[in-house]
Amino acid sequence: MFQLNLSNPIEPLNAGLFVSPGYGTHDTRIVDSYELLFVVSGTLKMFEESEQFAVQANQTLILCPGLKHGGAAPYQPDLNFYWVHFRVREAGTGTVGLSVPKLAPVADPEFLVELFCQYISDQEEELRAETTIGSARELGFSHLVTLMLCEIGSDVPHTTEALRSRTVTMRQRSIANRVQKYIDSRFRESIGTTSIAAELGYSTDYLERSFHHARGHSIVEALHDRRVSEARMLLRGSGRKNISEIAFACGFSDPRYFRRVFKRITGLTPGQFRSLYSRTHINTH
Amino acid sequence: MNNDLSFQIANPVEPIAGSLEVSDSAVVKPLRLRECHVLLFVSRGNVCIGSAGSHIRVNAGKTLLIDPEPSRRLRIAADSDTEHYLLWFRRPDCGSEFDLRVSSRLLGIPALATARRPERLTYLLRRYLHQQERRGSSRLLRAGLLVLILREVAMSGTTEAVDPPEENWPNTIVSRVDAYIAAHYSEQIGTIDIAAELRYNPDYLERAYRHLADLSIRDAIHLRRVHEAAAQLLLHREYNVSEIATMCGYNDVNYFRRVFKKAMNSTPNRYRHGASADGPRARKRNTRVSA
Repeated sequence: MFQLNLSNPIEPLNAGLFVSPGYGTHDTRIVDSYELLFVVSGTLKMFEESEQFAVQANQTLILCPGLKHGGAAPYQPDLNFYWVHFRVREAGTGTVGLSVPKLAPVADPEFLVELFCQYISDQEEELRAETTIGSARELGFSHLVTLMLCEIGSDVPHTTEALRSRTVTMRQRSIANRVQKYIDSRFRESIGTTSIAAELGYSTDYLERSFHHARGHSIVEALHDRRVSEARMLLRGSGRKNISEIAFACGFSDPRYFRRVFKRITGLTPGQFRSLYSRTHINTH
Repeated sequence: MNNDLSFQIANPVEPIAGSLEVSDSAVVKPLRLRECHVLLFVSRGNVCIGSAGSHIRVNAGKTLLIDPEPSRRLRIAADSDTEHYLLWFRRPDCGSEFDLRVSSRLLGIPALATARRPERLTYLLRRYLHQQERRGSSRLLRAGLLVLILREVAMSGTTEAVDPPEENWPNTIVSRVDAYIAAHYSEQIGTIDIAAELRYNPDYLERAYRHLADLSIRDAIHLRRVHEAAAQLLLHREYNVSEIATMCGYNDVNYFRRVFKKAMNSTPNRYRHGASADGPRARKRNTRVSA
């Protein structure tokens, strides 16, 4: 048997999804653990000691142990956020430093949501199992939180960005950004490389080449990524839309094609994906 | 921003590369070990791994972990219509053992195993490949995914068939009941309210839930309340036990104490104070709070 030492200085306590009841304010308190908050929708207004934070959707905030924190304003009705409490043990050698911004936007929010969902569903499963927790499970929690921190922070700040800027011109980068913005706002409609090029006033070939050079993948792949990421969100959601409805809602006109693309990107069929995330834990205070 | 926080995290494995191989017709190729460990997961079809003398057959849904053996030449043979994943990784610096100032936790990973949750494993592997493809993705992020992948494999060896069979509707019943309990545990709820809310006959719902979750709905409500209370006890030291009992849906604090003691094997007060002390026992309880 292969033995792997997975000791981890990150020691999580518990996690959950907070759904705003539309009233009330976050308690003012001092706790002895870190808290990572990830806002899914709405804005969370918090203070820590004398600092104020307005955490927008798809942003994270980390609160530190021993400092007084609390809500700076009542909960907005559309506010949803994930939270996890964790402690940090003193680490010896064999660890790596990770720098995490206190308040930061998340590059891939859907992935972070999935990490939280995995955490929460493992937590539920463990609750139900009632047996002593296997070390594999226990370790899973700390590594899930570690992965969340990796997703937010970075070990090599900005070096890759600097590398890229040497070969990609400003013009290509700005074209790629415009294409991405266009995809983000219109992916639900039936758009493609040709219609994007026409809309932005470039030739299809030039646009495709510039985008590919800046991003390392094609416009169609970017469009598929965006659509599948929307589908992942809808599949996790509680609304029981069927797969075809979800395909249409994400801009795919053919549900079978949607299945194929979804499977290529995630490795799972939409149905399998849905059953992965069928459990949630919600708190409202 | 200069108020970045800095964390020390463990990096027990060093990811080298990953690939997904899809073959329509049968192929035989050399398998490069690159002085790495290699994890194979077959998601469809059959794959054979071997050298001149011996070989091992890996069917769909199984994983195989290969140790680095520089002297051996391995071949990988895939039947027609197969799909498999390969991950190459190393342990950083085998000489100096990992030193965390806690007892080390070893995870045993079986060489040949059946994935307990093949979907989860597939999804993690895809995320890994996705990260690998993207430019400038963090190495630590890939290392973290790799740990989760290895953990999935480890779980397949230690526990078998803990999950209820993967049918869609019954999971939905359990998860809908759990979601309702999670949202309403602080109120006075019982099986009848849940059945009315979810539009099931109470007897049927009770039977179905008990069958699938191996737990009565009443016990599930108690467990949820107790775990919530346990978390509150640690997080809100300014509240006393009876306030916490009320917050978690118990009007009678003595009743709460009894239920808590039965579930957690400790009284609420002892739990609160025991958890702040150090020591393996306390740590273990902390993780059980997880709710």
